[in-house]
Amino acid sequence: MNSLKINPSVDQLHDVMNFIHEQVPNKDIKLDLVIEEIFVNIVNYSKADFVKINADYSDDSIMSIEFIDNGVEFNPLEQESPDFPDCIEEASVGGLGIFFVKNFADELSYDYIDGENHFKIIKSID
Amino acid sequence: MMEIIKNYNGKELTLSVNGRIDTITSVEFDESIQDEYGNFNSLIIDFNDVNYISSAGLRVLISTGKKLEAEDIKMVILNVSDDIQKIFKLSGFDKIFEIQ
Repeated sequence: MNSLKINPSVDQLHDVMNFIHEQVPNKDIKLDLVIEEIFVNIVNYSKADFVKINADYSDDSIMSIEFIDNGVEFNPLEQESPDFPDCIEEASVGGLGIFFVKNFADELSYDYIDGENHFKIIKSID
Repeated sequence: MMEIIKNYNGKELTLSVNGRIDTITSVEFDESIQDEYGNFNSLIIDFNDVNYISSAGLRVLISTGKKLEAEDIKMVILNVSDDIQKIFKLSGFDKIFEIQ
């Protein structure tokens, strides 16, 4: 398993993506989306001092990732799905990021342990 | 990570986007459209060389689409890859935008 510990800042997004890309042989747009949306959600809302990412890629093409932060307790799995618009006037992207995460990951789990959010993602790589 | 080429054909603006539209690059994507407001009466966004878009990029498309709709200016998104088409479908964007 490899780990990356960084400041919760949007400026770190490309470092996060580079770290993930180093773990997997193929680029997977759905994996990238899951990672970006979770990381940016932590940056924008958690008020955490740090974000730690543990990543493990197994021989059977399964990527396991855990995001750990010491910010505000927040379970993304409890977020409701967004409303889907019929026309551009009604459209918004609130909640769309987490909706992508729920759709594109194979397994998700959340725990709040000793003042830290632990969000685990399992995703098979195409 | 992302490059935008602007090309005018009369009042029709084509923005050819190359690369990834993520939380960081979507700021530049938004600015490149905003810089041209008032100069075009038709907007084509060519996604031929876009290989990634996150919700931040979708937010730019929605805000642009709303603004142009209010001014009755046509906006079309061209050459969307299969991967990005899946993201558009999942978001319901295939119903609210003209995608060719």
